[in-house]
Amino acid sequence: MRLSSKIKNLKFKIILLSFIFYSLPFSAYAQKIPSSKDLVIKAWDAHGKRDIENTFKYTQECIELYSEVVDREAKLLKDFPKTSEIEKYQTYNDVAVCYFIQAESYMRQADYQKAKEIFNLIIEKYPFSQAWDPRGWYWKIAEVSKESIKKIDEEILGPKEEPKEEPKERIKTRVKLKDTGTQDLVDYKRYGRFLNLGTRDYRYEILDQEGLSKAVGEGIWPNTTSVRKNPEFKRVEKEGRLKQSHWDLLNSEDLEAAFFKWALYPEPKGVSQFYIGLILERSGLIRHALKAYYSVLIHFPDSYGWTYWHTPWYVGQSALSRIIFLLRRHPELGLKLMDARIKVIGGFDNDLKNDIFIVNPGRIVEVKETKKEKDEELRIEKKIGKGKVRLVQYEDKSWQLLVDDTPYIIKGITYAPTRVGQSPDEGTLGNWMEEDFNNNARVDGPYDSFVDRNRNNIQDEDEKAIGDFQLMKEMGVNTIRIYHHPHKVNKKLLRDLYENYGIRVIMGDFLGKYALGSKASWYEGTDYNNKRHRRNMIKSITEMVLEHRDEPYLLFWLLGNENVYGVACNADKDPDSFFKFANLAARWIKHLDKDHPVAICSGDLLFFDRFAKYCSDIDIFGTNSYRGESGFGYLWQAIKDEKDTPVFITEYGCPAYAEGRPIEEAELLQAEYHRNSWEDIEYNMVGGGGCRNSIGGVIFEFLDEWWKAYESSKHDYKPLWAGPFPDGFMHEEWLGVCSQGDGLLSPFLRQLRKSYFIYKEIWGGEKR
Amino acid sequence: MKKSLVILLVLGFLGPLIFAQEEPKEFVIYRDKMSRENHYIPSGWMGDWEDLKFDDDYKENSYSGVSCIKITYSAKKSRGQGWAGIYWQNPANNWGSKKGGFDLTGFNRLTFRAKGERGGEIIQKFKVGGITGPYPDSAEVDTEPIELTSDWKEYTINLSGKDLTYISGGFGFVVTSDQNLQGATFYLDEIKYGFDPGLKPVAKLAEKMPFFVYSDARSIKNHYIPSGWMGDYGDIRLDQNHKDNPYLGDTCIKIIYSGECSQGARWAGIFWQNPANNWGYKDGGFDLSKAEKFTFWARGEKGEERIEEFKVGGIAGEFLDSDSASIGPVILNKEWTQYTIDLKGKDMSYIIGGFCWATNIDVNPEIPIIFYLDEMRYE
Repeated sequence: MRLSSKIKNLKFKIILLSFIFYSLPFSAYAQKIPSSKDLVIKAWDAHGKRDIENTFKYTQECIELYSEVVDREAKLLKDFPKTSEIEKYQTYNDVAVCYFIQAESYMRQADYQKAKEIFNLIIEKYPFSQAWDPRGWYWKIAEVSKESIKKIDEEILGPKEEPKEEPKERIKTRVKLKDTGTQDLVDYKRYGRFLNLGTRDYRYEILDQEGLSKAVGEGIWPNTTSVRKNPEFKRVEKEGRLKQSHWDLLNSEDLEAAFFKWALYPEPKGVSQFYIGLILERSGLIRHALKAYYSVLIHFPDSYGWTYWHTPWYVGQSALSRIIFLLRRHPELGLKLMDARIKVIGGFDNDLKNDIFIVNPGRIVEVKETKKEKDEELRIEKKIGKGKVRLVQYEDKSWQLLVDDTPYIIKGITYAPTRVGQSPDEGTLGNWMEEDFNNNARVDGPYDSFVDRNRNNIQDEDEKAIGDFQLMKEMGVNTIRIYHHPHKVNKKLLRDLYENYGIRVIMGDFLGKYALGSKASWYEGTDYNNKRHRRNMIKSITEMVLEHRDEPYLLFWLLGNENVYGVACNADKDPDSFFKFANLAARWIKHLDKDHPVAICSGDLLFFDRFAKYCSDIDIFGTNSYRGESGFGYLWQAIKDEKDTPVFITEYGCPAYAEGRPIEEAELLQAEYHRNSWEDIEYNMVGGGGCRNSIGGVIFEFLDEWWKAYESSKHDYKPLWAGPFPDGFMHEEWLGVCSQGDGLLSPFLRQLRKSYFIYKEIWGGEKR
Repeated sequence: MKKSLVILLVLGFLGPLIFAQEEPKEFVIYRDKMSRENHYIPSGWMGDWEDLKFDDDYKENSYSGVSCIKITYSAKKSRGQGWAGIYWQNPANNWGSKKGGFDLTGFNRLTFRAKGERGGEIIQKFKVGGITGPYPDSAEVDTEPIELTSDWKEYTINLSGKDLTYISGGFGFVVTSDQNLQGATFYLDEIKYGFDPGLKPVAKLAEKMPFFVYSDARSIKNHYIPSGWMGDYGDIRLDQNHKDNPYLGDTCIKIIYSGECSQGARWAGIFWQNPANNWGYKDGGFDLSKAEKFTFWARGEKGEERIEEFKVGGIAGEFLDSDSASIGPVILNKEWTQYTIDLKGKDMSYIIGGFCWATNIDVNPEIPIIFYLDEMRYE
């Protein structure tokens, strides 16, 4: 090659490099491969906007880009991964979601054949795919696909008749103990010694295992022998009743089988002792149940389990609360738990490794007579706020909310009467504060609802419209909890609610949850360190306060809705920034309004230590809590141990549906759950026997919402997530104290459940 | 005269018949390479099967006839299993997927001759039956570990009282690398089923104490097999032949739990079982009624490893351990420490799960964790 040629060539290379350099930002941008997650978000967005072209563009792009990766991931899966492991299979799940969106789009276009083909493809190729629902759980894509096919075949293309299901045989048994033990009230000192009580090094050392085994009896640690010798065991096994998993049995009515299974199943001992206690309790064997729970305190106080969301469950604290609950519920036993305490330092996060347990199992003692303490007027020691709504703390450290200097117990309910068929997923969720489907110039739910007393799903002549406001008043509700966004608030309606029905409003701002208020995009999510997001949230709060601060209906302000769990905000990843910002927001609110306290709405006790650390300007700790059939367990004490603050439960509730149970029975279970929950709230109020930091609670919710499990026109039975509910699962469309019947007369028809009447009884609602 | 002839004739017919009934029956698995009497095919090669060499026409120094079987085990762990074995099956390669077993009712023992090349070779177990699948064997009987001598010796597997109506796995053996570090060469001959009228079903007697789960890698005192890998079993590495700093003897057990969540469980553990892989689906275990405690020595690599539970018993299936006992959580020390599981008041008369440990990643700040076990025994 000649030199000139070389130079020419070099020039060409330089020009080429320059071109590449200048075009790099563009070409690099153009070539950036979008993540499967990005494409799913865009596809959902397009689908929501009914933009078919882009729906298929984004879904197809995802499918084509990631099919190889997906095949690789698919090979690894032999079952559904645990919740904590789902993110490992993100691409696999995203591709399945893209197919699902395509199938949904075909359904929307009435191309049912094509939709079925794709649903079938999902079932075949992605049987273990799952997708996160922003409402807070994972849904199984193949299962929903099967339901969609069924819907196409049976409801859209086939006959409309409901198939008759053969009723399943119900096995109802109770535990029959062969060896009840030699002592009802076990003298643990006789069989061992307590070391380091009230410290992190607590332990109980068994010195006479044989003696202790005899004393405690069957199924209670360390007696692992008697249960195997119970003659019923062989019979139950022979009948094949132990074949179900121990979790399925736990939620079944076959308590006998559940007891044997849990006594033998190799779960961690603390966990199994707790559930043995629960099974015994359900069998009516209260004394033996107490022994089981107490054995957790004695032997396994630092035992733990995991919730559906992989948050730790402290079994010792739960057992302790259960004992208190049982002793409260059964005064005839004449027993009391004294000095028991389990404090978990570092227990407000998801990390077990930093946990330190300070334990004193206390002792169960006999009490001859429960003397009712004389009600004495307590001296106020501390006041928060100067306006008409204030908080006071008495000399005994109990907290109380005062409105116009009168004690106010929050008897609250979440009110969102959603018409059947409406869904935020479809963009069809209306504003209940304005809807008037019968065009009578009155808002439907609040004024035109009627009670379908005979539950025949039609409005009989004697079933006149009464309206939810009146129904809530009769129920004893004095507060509803609402948010000032995204829908417009009808102030006139709320004024009427207060003036004519005596019901006040807790007014909330989501504080960036679901990206509301921060104006972040859903995908981006609220970042509590982002100046623009913070500015927008402050603006949103300012609008709320200025709009409602002078309204008579306002009880107090509420910030957020369990932001600590994340979902389009980063409070789960950066709780410090979130709580610092929440406190800033509270301070700002107080600057604008001195008359009303500020509360936060958190998620159980996750990151409560950060709340305690950063939120000195937030007056009330509110939290959504679903802890099971006996109330809120150790929540009150755990809060008290960390921060001296008034507390209210911003959400609690239970589905009125339980798989395998008749509706009447499920409603009873729901009612019982509510009765116990309120009893616990009350027990921990001023004057109660508990922690005295409770100021009330808000039921979730007044009316069933049918959109929560995806098919907004169908009252879905399917379980959404595992939790402490009658059949072990949350059925989110059944949380109302009122149902909407068969849905055909929605939003007007109300069938009042037993839980409604429970509150009417305990809240002392007005009689009609 | 005629009468005596008739009697003689009758005796003449009856004689072989009576003789046939009294003659001990035989059902031969191996007599000589080409013997027509042979049954079953040595087709079921298992574990590190590439570590095995098999010659069933070995003619030097057979016990009887013209040939015997020579087996050479290299212990190279060519498939990473640490064990190898062969099943004699009918038909060949039948792992219970097809019908083909023999009805061996009427026999009550299997005998064979065996010897080691040098003596001291350990056979983890010889076995009869135990093939599972759609056509499972009607019985399974395993021997305890056997240490061979350099001379031919007869061994008997007592099958008295066992249901032998369908046996497709006529005979088998298992050797392990832990017990034969340098490999092993051993010989078998005259493998056959027979009948011994004096043989009684083996009554399970309470085992004498001490009763070892693990003493040393090569010890034939060891009982139970660490076969029940649980949870994230892919995260576990088990070395039963770890020679560095054992508590006693030549070896100890080294366990590495990587915490990688291979199976997504977040926890892992191992059950020592009898027979191997017995989750209570089959009879097995030992009568440990005489035990008052279970002791073992343990240490952690760093000294802060947390084991959630050490346990004995507790396997619950169709065959149920008669009891269970455990300790935990245990934070291990860096130095060897003895731990005790109290068995007083426990019914240890039927224990399939001789020992178990389990832990998880959520309570161990530093993953992987490495820990050691030694001298695990019932006393």
